Amino acid sequence: MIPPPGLFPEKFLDALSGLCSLRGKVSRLTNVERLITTLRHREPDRVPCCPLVISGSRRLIGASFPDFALKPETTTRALMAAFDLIGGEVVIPMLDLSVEASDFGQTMIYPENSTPHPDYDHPLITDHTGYQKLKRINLRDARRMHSLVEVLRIVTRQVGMKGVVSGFCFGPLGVLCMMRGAEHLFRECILYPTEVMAALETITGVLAEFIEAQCETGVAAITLDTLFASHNGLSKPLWEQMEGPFVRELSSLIRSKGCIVGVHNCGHGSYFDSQIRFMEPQIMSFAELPEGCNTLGELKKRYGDQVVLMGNMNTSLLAHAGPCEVIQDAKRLIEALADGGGFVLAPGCEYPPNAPLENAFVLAQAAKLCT
Amino acid sequence: MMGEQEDSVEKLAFHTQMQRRIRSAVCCHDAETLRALLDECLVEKSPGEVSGILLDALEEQRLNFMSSARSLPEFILTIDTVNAALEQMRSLEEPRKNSDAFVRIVIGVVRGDPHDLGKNIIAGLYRAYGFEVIDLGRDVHQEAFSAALTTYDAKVLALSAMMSTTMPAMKEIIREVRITGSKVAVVIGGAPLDAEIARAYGADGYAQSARHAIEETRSAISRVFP
Repeated sequence: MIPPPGLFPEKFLDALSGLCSLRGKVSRLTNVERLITTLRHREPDRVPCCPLVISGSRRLIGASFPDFALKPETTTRALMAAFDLIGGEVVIPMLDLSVEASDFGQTMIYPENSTPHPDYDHPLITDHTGYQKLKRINLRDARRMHSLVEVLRIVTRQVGMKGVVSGFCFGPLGVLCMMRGAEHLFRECILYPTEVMAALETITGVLAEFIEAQCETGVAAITLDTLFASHNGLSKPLWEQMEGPFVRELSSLIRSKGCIVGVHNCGHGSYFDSQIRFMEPQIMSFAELPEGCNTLGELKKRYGDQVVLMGNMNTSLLAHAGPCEVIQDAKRLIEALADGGGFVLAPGCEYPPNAPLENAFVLAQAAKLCT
Repeated sequence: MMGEQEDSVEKLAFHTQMQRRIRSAVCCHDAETLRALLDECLVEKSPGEVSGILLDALEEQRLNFMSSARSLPEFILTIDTVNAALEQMRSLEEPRKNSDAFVRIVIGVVRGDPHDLGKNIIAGLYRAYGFEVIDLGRDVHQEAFSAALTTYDAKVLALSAMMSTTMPAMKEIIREVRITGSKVAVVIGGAPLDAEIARAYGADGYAQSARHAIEETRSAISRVFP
């Protein structure tokens, strides 16, 4: 497995990526070389790919959703089957978005044929007074977070030098949403900001420990999901006030461990500018165009030299279209975003867990065909 | 004559000022001020007229939300405020069930899906815009939708799904509704959907987000009930 990239001097990484880029013009790079080149904004031999087949991977080994979510050995087997069979250079092992909330004590539902989710009839926080009562938990007793750390430890070892593994952590506001419900949380961010921020502080303390444990598994990056930094969430000033300072703390921690900060966005009109200011990420994955960008060209021009862009294949298309359409869509993205490096081809969000997996294979092949 | 003119100028000034103050209270979702303003307004105007002013204020906020000038949490609070005020107006108004504009909507989140934020916002918007809403909640089975359509003789069925794993249930529900021959405009929405999937599922309308729900529902109704 590769050491955390932050442990290497910048000059060394620049020289290495320059050499890789040159070599990529005449021969095929390894997965890791391709990623290093991409991350340093130099053109590799072809674009790297992250098929983001997460809970969908369970079907490769005939496992159920609950088994994938609750049994680390099953999760690992499924994710490795996807990596070995489908390919790609980046693996982001995660379980679901309720991992942290369930460890805080949120009652969960584990459906047989769908992603686990909180029991919203029984939210852990039932009114605005509950935010300040939220108790900090010890990572040692956090069963699901501990499971993810175990999965990361094994996957990182098994992937080795064949790719790059990223940990994953839902942002504090997202975790809180799972314990209160989005509608109430949105209202209360405006009506009771002090109370909400008290809970965010408690959650951030636990997430910091969670991130530290993930970094210790040898992952090269940690992806933070700040879903509410978008038009689907809070206004930009409110997000900067409520979640901004906490994710700044978490991303500094990630960097201090030598890991890359990634940010995942699946909302409409994400606030890339604020996210970059608060988290200084190296990679931004996106399902929709960020605020202020109307085209991929505008996005590349505005943010392409600041961050590596990752995405943004339409997940509906992956679920319903044929291989030719998937290849055409991949081609469109590569043409718009791959010039000069700094682009990873991926679905905008998790590969639809119940969709046929054929298009995941097509996606991985498209990265090779269309560059 | 002069007296009449002065009177009408005064009334116009009162109306303009009231509109401005109501708009401001709706914008700041200040329910208490809004309630006092409505009481003041009701001395001069009918409940129907006051409701009209309220809806204009909501429309302004909805357009701001559509252009992203207002955020989702702010818009949720605006809908709450307007719905509470409209409730106050409706208790004073004549029932409108014989009106041509009266439309009943059955709304719900499909089986297996617990995410009801989008559905709740749209149900709130429908109510504010004068539709009668039968809200079946979340994780609703196909049979419950069919039964509600029959029981309430609804013109619109609004379905929401936020997960790719639960989205296919919409197709089943729409197929079932079509088989029974019920004349109903089906509008669907949710994160994993797009217009093409909505068409493939047989929906009459696709609301990409709460921003588009009212227009899309109105046009689906006009297509199904020309």
